[in-house]
Amino acid sequence: MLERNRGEEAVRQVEAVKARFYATVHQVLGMIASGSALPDVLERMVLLVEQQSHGMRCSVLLLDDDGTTIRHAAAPGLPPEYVRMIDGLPIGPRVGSCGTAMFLAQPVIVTDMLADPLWEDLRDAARSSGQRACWAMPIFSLQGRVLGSIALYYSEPRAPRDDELGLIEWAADVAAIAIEQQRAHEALRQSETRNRAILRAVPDMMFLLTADGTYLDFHVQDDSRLFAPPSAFLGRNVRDVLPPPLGERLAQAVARVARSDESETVQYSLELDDAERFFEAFIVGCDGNKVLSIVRDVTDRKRAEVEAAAHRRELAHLSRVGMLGELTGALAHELSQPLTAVLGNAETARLLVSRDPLDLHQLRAALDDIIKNNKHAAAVIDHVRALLRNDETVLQPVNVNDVVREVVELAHGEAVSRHITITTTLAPRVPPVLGDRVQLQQVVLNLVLNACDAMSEAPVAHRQLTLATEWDNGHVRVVVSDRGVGIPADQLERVFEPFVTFRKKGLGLGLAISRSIVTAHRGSIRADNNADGGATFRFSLPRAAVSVEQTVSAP
Amino acid sequence: VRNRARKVLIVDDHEELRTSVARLVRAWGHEVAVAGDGPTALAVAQSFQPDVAVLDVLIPGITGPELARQLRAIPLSTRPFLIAMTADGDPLLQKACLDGGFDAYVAKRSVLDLEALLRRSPS
Repeated sequence: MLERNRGEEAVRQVEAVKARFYATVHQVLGMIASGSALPDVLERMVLLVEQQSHGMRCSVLLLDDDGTTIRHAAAPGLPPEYVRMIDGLPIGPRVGSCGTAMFLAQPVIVTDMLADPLWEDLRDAARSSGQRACWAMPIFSLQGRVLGSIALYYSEPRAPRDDELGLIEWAADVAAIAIEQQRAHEALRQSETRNRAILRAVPDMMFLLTADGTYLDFHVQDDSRLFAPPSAFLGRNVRDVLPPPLGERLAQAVARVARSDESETVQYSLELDDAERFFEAFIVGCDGNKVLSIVRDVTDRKRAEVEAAAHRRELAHLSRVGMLGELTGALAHELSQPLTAVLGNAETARLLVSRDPLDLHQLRAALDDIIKNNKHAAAVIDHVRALLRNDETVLQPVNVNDVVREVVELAHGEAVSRHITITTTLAPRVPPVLGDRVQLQQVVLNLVLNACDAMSEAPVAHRQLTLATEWDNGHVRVVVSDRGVGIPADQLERVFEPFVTFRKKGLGLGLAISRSIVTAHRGSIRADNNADGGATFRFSLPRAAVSVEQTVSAP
Repeated sequence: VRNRARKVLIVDDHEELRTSVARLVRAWGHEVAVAGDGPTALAVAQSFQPDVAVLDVLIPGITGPELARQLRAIPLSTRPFLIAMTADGDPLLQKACLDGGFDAYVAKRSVLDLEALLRRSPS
């Protein structure tokens, strides 16, 4: 009975020890999970291990990031002077139990520290530890890298039992988890610090939105750059925060990005403090169903572009005015035709009305022609005035055949007075290009006047100027050929540079401006010498995109 | 004799001006033929046998004096009276016309002066 009671008592004691052990294990794992400081976790674990056997001591060492230096981590039961002597030693093939275990990446069992050759160089330390047996186990990361070591000590020489080896292996695994967890935490913290630094350095604004366009979070250097204060947009939909057309546009872009996983760039402008500012939103999918909108203020760049475009326009205008100045004589000639016709028809009508019988048929023909002549004169004036005006660049579908026809009409007088014959070959059904009609006329007129100049010394029979239009799937071309002096071969590449000229008059800006106009229309221009004399200039413009309706109505 | 009708050939590449001047010259009581370019002018002249030719001095493909020379070179029953029609009243150009074989000139803006010129022309 007593036997049995004693047996039950022993079982109860073992159960109690187990319960305490598991409670402490839970505590250690809980500390790891909650991100407690590594030294605290390791010390608690060392104490837990020491509880498992009376008189046993435990220590944990870490291997420095340099891969060679031993760092003290936890050894609450060992003398501080011993800890100091071990801390900072390099690992090696004969550096006690732990230094050797880390070096060899395998367990090192030393039954007597005062006798074992591995401790030969560290006998003082061994003595100061007050311990005799020291069994060390490397702590490995999941990838098998040595993170440190854990050791069990006894104050008398002895070898480990199997259960003691099991304990030390278990402790090494727990230590590995604790160390790796801490390193992961540290890496995350560093990355967050880095991200915060990047965020601080980046001038862009960032907005986190749901797929349906509700603002969740934002980052901005300076709240005053926001269109609305955070309280007015966080938790609300972009449609309700921004002016209607823009809010709708952005909401649709956000929805598209959330659906498709592709990024989108949206350009828009907003009035901030009574000034229009331009923005570019780069919208990317992020974090599942959410969307990140990175917004950059591109006002300065935009203004520079607008200014450059305005300069180009001014220069183009000046150049047009200059060209028309050269043409005034010819334009007067061109206008004198309808004006003279009006005079002739009016005088005829005056004579006819005083005759008896009245020839009504002739009279009406004369009066009808006066109206026609007048319209013609007005059209010539309109063309000239359009070229003289300094209007905003207007991009619209333009038929290059019309452009060529109008230029030929303007240049007709000039060509005739120089005994130049202009032949036009216009491609039928030429597709439209997207362009500024006046600027394109300017390019053609510039090429025509240059061609006229190139032929000023040529025999009259050779003064042939050919204007042609061509088109293919992607482009529409205008080709201007003359039979003049041509261009020196080494200058072909340079003719479009400013201040390069082969004319007796002019600054040499015409072709440079023509090229800048063509380039602004996303086209290209080139010059070639003809095999049979003279030069050919051709410029090419992309066809205007075919609209949806046109596609639908196509057979 | 002074008001006798003349046969007048009008040569100008501008259709509207040609039509107007032809109509006016007819209203003055003359007989008119027209041509829009040099080769047509020569062909018409041969069949029409004009007393007077009014030539635009700036027509494509040929200079005024050259057309005047060619008109004079073809065999006609009478030597036509040649009037140069110039775009404006540039005196240098008008002198060049007289030197180049024309008998008279008229600026387009003064086209009504043609009436007196035609009346004065030999018939």
